[in-house]
Amino acid sequence: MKHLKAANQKAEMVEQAQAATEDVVGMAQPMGCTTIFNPGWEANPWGGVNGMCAPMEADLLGCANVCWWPAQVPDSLQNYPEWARACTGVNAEDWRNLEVVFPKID
Amino acid sequence: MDLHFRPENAHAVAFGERQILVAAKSMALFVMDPVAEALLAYGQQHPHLTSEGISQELHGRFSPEAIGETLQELVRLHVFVTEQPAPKPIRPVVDIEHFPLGSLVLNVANKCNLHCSYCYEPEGAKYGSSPVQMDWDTARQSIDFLFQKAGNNREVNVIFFGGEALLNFKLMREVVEYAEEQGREHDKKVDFSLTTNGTLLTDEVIDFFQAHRFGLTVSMDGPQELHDKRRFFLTARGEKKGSYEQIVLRIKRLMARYTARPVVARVTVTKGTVEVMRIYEHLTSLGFFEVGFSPVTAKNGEEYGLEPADLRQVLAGFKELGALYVERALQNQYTGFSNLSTMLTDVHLGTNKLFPCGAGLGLLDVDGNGDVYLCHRFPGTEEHQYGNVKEGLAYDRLNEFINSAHVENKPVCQTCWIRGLCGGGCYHEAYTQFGDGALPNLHYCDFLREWTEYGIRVYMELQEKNPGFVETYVLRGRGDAPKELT
Repeated sequence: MKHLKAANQKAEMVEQAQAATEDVVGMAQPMGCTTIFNPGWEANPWGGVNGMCAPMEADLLGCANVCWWPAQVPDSLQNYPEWARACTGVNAEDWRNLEVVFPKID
Repeated sequence: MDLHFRPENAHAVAFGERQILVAAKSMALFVMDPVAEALLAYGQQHPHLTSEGISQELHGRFSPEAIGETLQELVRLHVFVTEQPAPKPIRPVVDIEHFPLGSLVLNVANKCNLHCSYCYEPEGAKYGSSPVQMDWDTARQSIDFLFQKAGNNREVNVIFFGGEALLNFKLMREVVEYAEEQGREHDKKVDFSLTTNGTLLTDEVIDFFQAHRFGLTVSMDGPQELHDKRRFFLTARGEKKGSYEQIVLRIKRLMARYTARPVVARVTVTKGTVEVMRIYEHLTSLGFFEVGFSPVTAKNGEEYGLEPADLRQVLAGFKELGALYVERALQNQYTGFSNLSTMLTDVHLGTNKLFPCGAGLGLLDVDGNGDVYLCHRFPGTEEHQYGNVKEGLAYDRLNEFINSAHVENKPVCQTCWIRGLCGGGCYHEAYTQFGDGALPNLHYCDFLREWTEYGIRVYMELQEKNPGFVETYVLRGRGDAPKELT
């Protein structure tokens, strides 16, 4: 912290705990008809996805890829081709630049 | 944005030019910069506020960015909150049945050769119907009980207590042998300790302590004049005879022969014996490494009880001894003043407790019948008996009591910034004063808050002028005792 200077061991622990908050990470590339965000890794106790009824791939990559599941990102192939234009680069560190889109009303 | 100031989560302690913020929700300490100080002061005056209001108020003194950043930092510590929390439901929070037992107190003797006037076990009523001496079967079952309940603890503590425990030294030897054997079998370290009045220490007893590295605490109240005031024998004719002379001879033997661990003196501070510095100097001159002071537990009106004026004198004495502690600490010398060392440990770690102590959780007491009590102060108090080592613990009642004593279930404590350090205070003190062990020790609140503020200032001074002293010399009893102390 900037305006409060840690003065005991607990304060240092509080600072570390607060600094350790992980940021949301945008995934590398558009998959199928959408651009995908990582909603948080869901894995089995061994770190893989074997045997899970809804592993991350099935939930997002798999579903969005074939467009049979309503993914939580705009359809960037048909309706919102431009929505991710400000977010370039493989690591997508500028994911906050992604636009917010609203359903088109004719 | 609407903000609410939470006074119970923030307390400022002046330290030199600066103010220290005690973030009471976590017991983290921070040195505040001028922006934080100004925001805290504003919050203290305006419990309901808006971020815009604060910015206006402090406009010109600090930049809007600095105000915004500082507010965010204070929100993260719950000093300001954006929404008033809903009232908390009162709920059980700890499941005693699965709480591992770490320490068991054995009342091996239900009798004492002294008749100290302030003893919390009144003569005659001593420990109810318990036999004078604990027998071997009960002792063995108690040790079995300890190991059964110890869970994953790698170390267990057997604490011998009385009456005067050394009146049943024979049983102590048997218990130690058996507990060590059980320790090897269960792969747990067993630590032994004893609180004694010192009248029965002989070379044989001392050598036994040495062989088993007993942690020793001797109850002594200071120089003869103060000690003999309330710690005495009763002669056959019913006359009071001070115990000091008897004890001092034996303490000298003890200090000469016993080198396994530092020996601690425990002082009961009573009306007329509040000279902290004099008591400390005397007891350390006898060879005690540490001296701990406990204000006496007394019902209202007892002649030995401490009144508010006496407590202020005790506190003044603590600070006088504290000044010596600091002076010596700056030269890397440790001063055996338990109360301050405990406080500095708590301040350093940021201790934040839900309960005042481990009684009923990690610590239980067994009397001569095998009956289990909250702690060593309760034997004979039926209300706080929770089963028996032979038949098992009365978990329902114990759960009910412990959870009623949870600090969040003590409404008065919710507005107090030291609630995490104090937890509401001693169950036995509350039981004696108010007839209910789960009530907070209201008569000590001011004393403890002032003592804590003092401890924080001492801590800050030591960290500033001799950083590392607290870690190296003071932190202990938490598994990381520095070598020079053990």
